[in-house]
Amino acid sequence: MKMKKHILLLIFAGVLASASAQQGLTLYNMDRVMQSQFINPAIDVPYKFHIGGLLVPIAGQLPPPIYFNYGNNSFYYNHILHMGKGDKADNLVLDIPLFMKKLKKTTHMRFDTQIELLNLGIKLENMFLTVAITEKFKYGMSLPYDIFEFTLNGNMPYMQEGKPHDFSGFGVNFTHYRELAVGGSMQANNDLTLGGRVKILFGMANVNTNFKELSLYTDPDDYSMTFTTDMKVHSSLPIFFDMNMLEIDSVGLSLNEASLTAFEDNPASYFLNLKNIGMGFDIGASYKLTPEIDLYASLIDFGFISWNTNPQNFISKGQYDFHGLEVELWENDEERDASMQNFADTLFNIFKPDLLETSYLTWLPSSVYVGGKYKFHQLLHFTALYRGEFYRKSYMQSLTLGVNSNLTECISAHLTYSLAHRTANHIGFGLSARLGPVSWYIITDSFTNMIWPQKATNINLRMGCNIVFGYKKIKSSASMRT
Amino acid sequence: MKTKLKYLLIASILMVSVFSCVKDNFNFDKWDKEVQYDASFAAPVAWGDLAFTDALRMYDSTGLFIVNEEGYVSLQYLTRVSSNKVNEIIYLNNQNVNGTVESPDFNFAQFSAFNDTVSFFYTDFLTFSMFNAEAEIDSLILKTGIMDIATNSTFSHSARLYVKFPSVTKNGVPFSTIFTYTPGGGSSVSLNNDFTGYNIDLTQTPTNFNEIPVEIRLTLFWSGTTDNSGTVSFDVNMKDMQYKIMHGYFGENTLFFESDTIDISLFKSNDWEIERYLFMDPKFKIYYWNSYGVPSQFYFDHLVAHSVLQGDMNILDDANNLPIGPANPYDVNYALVVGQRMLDSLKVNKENSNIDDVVNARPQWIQFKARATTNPAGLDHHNFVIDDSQIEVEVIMELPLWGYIYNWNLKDTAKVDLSDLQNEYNPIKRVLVRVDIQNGFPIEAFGQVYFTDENYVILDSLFYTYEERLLDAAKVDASGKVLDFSRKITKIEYVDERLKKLETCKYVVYAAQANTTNAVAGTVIKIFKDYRVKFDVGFEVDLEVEGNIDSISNAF
Repeated sequence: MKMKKHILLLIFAGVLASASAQQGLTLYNMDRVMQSQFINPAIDVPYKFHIGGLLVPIAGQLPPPIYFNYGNNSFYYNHILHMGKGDKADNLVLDIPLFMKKLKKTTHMRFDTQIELLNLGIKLENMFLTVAITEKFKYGMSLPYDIFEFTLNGNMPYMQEGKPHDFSGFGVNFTHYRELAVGGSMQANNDLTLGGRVKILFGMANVNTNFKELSLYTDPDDYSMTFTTDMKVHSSLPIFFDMNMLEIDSVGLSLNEASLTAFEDNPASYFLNLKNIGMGFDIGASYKLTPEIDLYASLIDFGFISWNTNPQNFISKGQYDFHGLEVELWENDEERDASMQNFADTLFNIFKPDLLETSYLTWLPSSVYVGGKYKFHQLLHFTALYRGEFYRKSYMQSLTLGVNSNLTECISAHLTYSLAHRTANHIGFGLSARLGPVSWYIITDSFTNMIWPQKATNINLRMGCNIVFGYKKIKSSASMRT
Repeated sequence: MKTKLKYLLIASILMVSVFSCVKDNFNFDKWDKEVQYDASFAAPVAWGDLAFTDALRMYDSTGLFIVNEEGYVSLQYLTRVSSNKVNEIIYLNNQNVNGTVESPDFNFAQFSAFNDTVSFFYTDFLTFSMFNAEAEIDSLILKTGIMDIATNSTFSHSARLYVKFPSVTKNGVPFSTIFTYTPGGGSSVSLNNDFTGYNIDLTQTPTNFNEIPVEIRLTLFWSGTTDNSGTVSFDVNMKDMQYKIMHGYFGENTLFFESDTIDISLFKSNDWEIERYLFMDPKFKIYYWNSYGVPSQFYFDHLVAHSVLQGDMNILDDANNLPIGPANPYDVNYALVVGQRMLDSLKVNKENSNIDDVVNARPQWIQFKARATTNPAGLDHHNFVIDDSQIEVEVIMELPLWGYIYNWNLKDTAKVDLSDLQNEYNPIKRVLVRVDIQNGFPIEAFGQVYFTDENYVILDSLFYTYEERLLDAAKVDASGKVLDFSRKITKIEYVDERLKKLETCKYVVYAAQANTTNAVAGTVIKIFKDYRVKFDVGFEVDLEVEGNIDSISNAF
């Protein structure tokens, strides 16, 4: 019993320690919205045909089909600035101690923006086929706790403890790619439905870092500092850096003029780039355990992109003991200046990266969803959903409980409560409404965060409009309450 | 209906409340702008591992420190002086020779028709006037020189004058020139003949030196007249001559050296004082570099050390019978072949001079006047000089660093402005400077820094204890050589309270004192070039800022 309690606590703690990018905690059970297939290809959408996306005239722009997600696994606004107490009750106060207290080992601040260009689905007998083109932007920054610790408390506390400042979690990433997905789902038998999507990915731009090691150790005896680095910065951009600048001892890089001019002359070439090809897969399944209980599972965004356009890999690996400026007997100012310059060069050379212009791979942040639905009533379904995501060698988790109702044949409403992003204050909301063939939807996994953005570790919104035909009501189970 | 209205009202109130709360949270006008920053940093500042050789390298240009013949280090004070330039002593005057060929010098017996000619030939001698009456020059090569020859004929016949200098040659060809005259006579000149590179042999006359022969041949051509009277005169001038090389005997010449002074900064500086010291082996050295090919003697007219304690002292007086005064000049090595630069030296020490007494008198400077004489042994035709021949002399006072120094102290004051410390928001609450010194020199040092106000009233001192002030000397063996480093780690901490004391500081007075190892007991040490000192400087600083961010910004 005690063991179970501990396991539950661990799961709960793990769920709270997450910051996810693409997520669909509320969407997952909105089977009337065809975009739910993005997170489980096996979901049975109750239309024979649907079409959506920005490229669809009128309906594709009212509203535009977009998805935005911001996630922060450590802090929210009020952890930095919040209303005071007592005579400060009417004032905003800066609360650095609280901010520091809330920081995790690595703070991930992540953004995910998606624009659906086209989404098409058709039901054929026992099979449902889909095609989707989506523009995706994933970007974010990871800041290790020790960066804040160093900046706000100095290096002496760690020095006295004899431990290094570990900046290895630091990271910056930006990826823009276009996804062409072709999917299908089919009923394997009466109880099991399987689905999958194959994606061809067209990378447009990428910058990402991999800091395996970046640390600073201050020796308590003589204050000498040891910098250790093992880091890589990869980039594949239409405008790249001049490697010549790296060959001289000068801090700083310059943009390659030729690439800049080429981009300015023909910016469209950026959007039509087909050199950075990748592949991805989504797979999913739904299983009717009992007439009242359905189980789901899916694996999303398992794939990679090979970056071949102007690939630049900046690699820095080394260790440097810094003892301060070496004092020599300088005969004149020129000698002293030369010595200072040597010192600066030496310091720079430690971090001076080697440049490799070879292609590289990036993996998509893959997610795993496992959930279930309990059909308590024809109009009332209870759901539970676990989500896990692999991101930068971390595993992010969330747990969502939901109440779902297809109120009428045209309207469905969904309410979720999620433990995610290290907080337990996410109340999500989803609504789909159909008028004739036009079906609108608006979904957020954290409605409360939109009301109280000062306490938001996650801001999430998906909306759009699809044209649907051939609604087919899913039959209720015999035992289900009506 | 009423119930619905009530719910609506409650919902409205809730919404207004929520949005008001949200708005307040993002209303930066409500930020009290109070900030608090409290951080502690430690970092290395500088380090060094300085060998005495580094100092030697640094001072190479001044030659203050050298590694002496025994392998340890000497402090040397030197000056280098040169003799007069050679062409101020041994030079070429302008030379002149002239003559006349007259009618009686000819035999006109067969001189009565066209195509009849008569000639007269004779050799004259151009005697060079020299820079020195004793000088007997054998030969020279000219670097520059001009020859002008002016002639005039008064004969009624046409004439031709041939002038030749058989011992003035260039590439083996003697210099000669021809003048022609029309009937009735007239002037003819040859000016600005460039003698650059000409070799002049002055031994081709019976005198065998200082003279060159001049061959004169005058030919008259009968020109239809019986008037044979007339003369032809010539005037030869050699001028602006500079030699490249000159051989012969130059006689006795005196070369004066610039008067010079050597400052002994160790004893002259006002920046420090030395209570007691001992130099075990002081030396006085004179080096000569002589490119004259002339036997020479060198001596000092005046060689005096000046000290505050004893006034002027003759360093090397005649009483010591040293070969350096006017009565005992020093025979300096001289060049035996052209291009040679002979080195010679004269070294005196406490065994053969009074240099020990001089050094103990703390001499502040040494002043000297010197001269050299050539050919002390008289006639010798093996002398030579070239156009840049010179005698250079380097005079050195060498103090080998073997001995001891006791209580070498220095003190100075610098003006400072620490008014920034008065700033209410001065973020520095504590500073600790850590200095780690590994001393490989057999020298112990004590330091102290005083902070004073504008009236020199001491506000604080850098060190509070004797131990803090002390930097131990490295231990030495019996020969005075260092055995191992001594190490000292000093931490100087300034907390807020102590920093406040410095707010009115206007002057920093720093004082230091140094002794060689166990100098108080007379232990002697040697300073070797591989002695070194290592140091590491780092700091800790506690920063604290608390207050309104606008006020803090304005304060800076």
